[in-house]
Amino acid sequence: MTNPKPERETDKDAGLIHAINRGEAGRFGDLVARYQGRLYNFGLRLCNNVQDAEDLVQETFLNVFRHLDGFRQETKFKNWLYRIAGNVCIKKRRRSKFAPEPDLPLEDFMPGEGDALPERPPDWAVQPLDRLLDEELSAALREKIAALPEKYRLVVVLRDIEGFSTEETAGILDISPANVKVRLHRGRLALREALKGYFDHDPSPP
Amino acid sequence: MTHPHHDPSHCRDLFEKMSEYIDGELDAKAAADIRRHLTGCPHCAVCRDTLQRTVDLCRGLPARPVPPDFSAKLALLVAEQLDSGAGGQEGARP
Ligand SMILES: [Zn+2]
Repeated sequence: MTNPKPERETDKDAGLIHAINRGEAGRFGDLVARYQGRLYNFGLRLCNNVQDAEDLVQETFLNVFRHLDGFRQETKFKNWLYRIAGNVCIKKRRRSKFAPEPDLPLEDFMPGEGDALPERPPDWAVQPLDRLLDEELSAALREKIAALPEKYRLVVVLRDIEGFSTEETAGILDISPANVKVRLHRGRLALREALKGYFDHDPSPP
Repeated sequence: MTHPHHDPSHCRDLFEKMSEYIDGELDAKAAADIRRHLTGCPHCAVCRDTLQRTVDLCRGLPARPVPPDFSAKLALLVAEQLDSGAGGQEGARP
């Protein structure tokens, strides 16, 4: 199963939200059923921890339940939902640790003057994707994503895993599209470095 | 191997724009410049390939099923909230 590509359509949840806000509160269960899987995986990717992912889903739905009547249709429900989930995640981290997270300067990823640069792509960049992405690599990739500093991690997960566009991600995180692009690029470069390390040290043949 | 007409400062510019390039978010002229550079610069081509693959791996990361007991817990939570009649009735705002 692959992650969805960015979508551009009308809000497919509008009818359901409308029904709930018009008094069919019982249908809130439909909303939970519709989004629990995506939110759970969003939580797993942000935290790489089952308990934290479950907490994120639960807190997010409680917030949605309390504030759904304030939801305005100018944004898609899904984007509003992820905005709440993202805030839950950020608050959670602030509660657990106060150390400022590091920035990832672009220079850190640039090759130095005298570095010998590869002329051919490494095996991991050309092997068929479905053969490459086994259980072990999936687990390693999850760890590496979870290890990114939060502001990069949120952008990478929203853009490259959840499939939101640059504009949508900017709206969800309340930052500028230019900022989304900067964080995404650095987050991807950090992940790429982590993957290089993983493949350089992987003793098992392909 | 040397590359005629190859300007290393171009590589640095390109390095900054590589994500926008692979996402198709550059204007036509900037994208065409990069495309041209990539055909003559194997280093940048490798950079593009590995970055593209990093993105592909993220996109391909399989989703995991929600644990059934957690799903049941959520359903219970919803039922409790509905019983307490809290939905949309509280004055609290985030
Ligand atoms: Zn180059």
